Amino acid sequence: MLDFFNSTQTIHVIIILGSMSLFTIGLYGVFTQKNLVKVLVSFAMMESSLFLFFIGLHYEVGFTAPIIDQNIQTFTNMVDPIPQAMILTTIVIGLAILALGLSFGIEYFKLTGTNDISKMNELKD
Amino acid sequence: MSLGYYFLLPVIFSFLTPLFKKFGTFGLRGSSILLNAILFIQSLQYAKMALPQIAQFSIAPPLGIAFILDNFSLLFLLIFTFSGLVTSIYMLWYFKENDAKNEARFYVFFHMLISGSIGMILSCDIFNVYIFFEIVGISSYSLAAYNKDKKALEGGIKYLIIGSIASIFIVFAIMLIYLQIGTVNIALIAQRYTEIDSKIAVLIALMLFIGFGTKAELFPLNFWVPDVYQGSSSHVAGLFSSVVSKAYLFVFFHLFYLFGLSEKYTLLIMTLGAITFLVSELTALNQKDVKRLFAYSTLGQLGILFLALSSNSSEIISGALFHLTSHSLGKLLIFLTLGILISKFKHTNISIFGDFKSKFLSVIFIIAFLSILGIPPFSGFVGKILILKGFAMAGNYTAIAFILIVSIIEAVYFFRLITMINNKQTIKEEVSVGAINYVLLTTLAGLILLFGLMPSLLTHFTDLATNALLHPANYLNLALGVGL
Repeated sequence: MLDFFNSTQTIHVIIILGSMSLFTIGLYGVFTQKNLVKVLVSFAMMESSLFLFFIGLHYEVGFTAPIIDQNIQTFTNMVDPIPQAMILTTIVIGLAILALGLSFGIEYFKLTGTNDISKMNELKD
Repeated sequence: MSLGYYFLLPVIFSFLTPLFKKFGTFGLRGSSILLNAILFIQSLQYAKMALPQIAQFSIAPPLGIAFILDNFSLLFLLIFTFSGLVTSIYMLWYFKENDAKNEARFYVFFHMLISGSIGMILSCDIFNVYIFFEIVGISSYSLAAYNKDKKALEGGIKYLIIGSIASIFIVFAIMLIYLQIGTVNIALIAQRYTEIDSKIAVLIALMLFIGFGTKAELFPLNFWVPDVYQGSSSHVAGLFSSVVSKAYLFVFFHLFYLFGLSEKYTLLIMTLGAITFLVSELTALNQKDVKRLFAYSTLGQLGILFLALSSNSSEIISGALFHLTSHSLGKLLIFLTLGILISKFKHTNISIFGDFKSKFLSVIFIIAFLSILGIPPFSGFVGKILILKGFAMAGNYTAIAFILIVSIIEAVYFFRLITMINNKQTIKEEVSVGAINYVLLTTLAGLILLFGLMPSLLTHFTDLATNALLHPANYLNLALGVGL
């Protein structure tokens, strides 16, 4: 039973199901929430689900992190480091967007006293 | 100058903004003009060289990061650097006439925008394209909101939410591609795109479509555009129209042809382009806000470009690239001239066209309108006629009839604006144009007239660009590191 859970394939299935449901929840939140902060949180959820998805699918049972030290000198049984480097970059970018969004939200709240995006209807014909 | 400086130089200038600010107002404005002049002159140098050229960083491609300039990206590079130069000179006048409190903030994001747009068209690595996509994204959200009033912030927030969702889909597509082929180099992906499982390939195409289609303002993903243009200052709207949307358009069609998606999806993108064109021009008919009106007009023109660029035929694409260039010039001219009126009258209602009294501005507006509309002898006419000729050679008469009919709708509101400008009954006020603007606007209008009278100046570049887009063998070899 434990062997079943410790197989690469099972872990991948769990990761795909989990991350895709998180992605769906985030997507749902972005389109239904009215509060700007909640929209941004939903966006962050969507993004995190992708990180889990991508890192998770590159993990295989028995593999280690791609770091060479005194004990480990060869490249055998290491996971692919490129996805991790790419995800690290994406996390930073995601953080920048989140921070920018929140700062817009704060400025808007100072001006109008509301954070409700359904009430943002200054711009129309 | 290596191609890498196209990305590095604006970023350095952007980060050094506090330093330039110490040298007084001219430090900022002068450094911006200097930067953009360097970039534009360097692009003119590249126009004389044999292309494609490559700049590689530390490791040779396909493993390392590289920038490649081919004839297709050269055309866009020239447009972007020229628009940047014109805008930076215009800002000399703008900050003298208007509140210069946000000046430093504008220049930081303006330089980042130029850097990102150029990086996006030069990069031959899809993950780097994504990074530049985000640099352009973040700087354009900030530029949309940099006035910090209610409208600007609202536009910025809407843009940020839509844009960040679009970027998530791009990340998703890149991840799926990496999971399938294990590379992010565009040339390697292009070579091995057929190896991808067909269902996943459809999913990847859909994600790329959502991501780049949203940013390149394609129907039905362009609902955010009018709000953002209306909320932002008019020179920023000019940048969005002539640089940002064109940069995303570049990536859209670059990947469209390199990944061989054109075989399957030509009809779909053509239809969506046609719908964009029709719907935007119909909506533009009863707009009351000038910036919103020209946002819809931009969408309409992008519709024609999507319709023509996805057609897979070299004559039509060459015409479309001509049209793209003249549209960039025309929209830049319109938005910059509009900025002069808005800073005088402080409102953006369409009646602004009846309020001003200036022979010069009237002539400039009329030239820009007629060029966008496609009336001889201006460059918009040549672009449209080349597209129509291409469709005639391809035997696609539905497209010809469609473009002509929708152009009539377009003519309705443009001629209404021209009538308003010439209306003698309204109370008119003198507008001071400023010495710099006389030179700047005359140059832009002169270019529009020049390309209209001597199309061969530009068709030379567009033909080369079309060839590079449809037959990318040299580009692919360079991106794969063959013969380095």
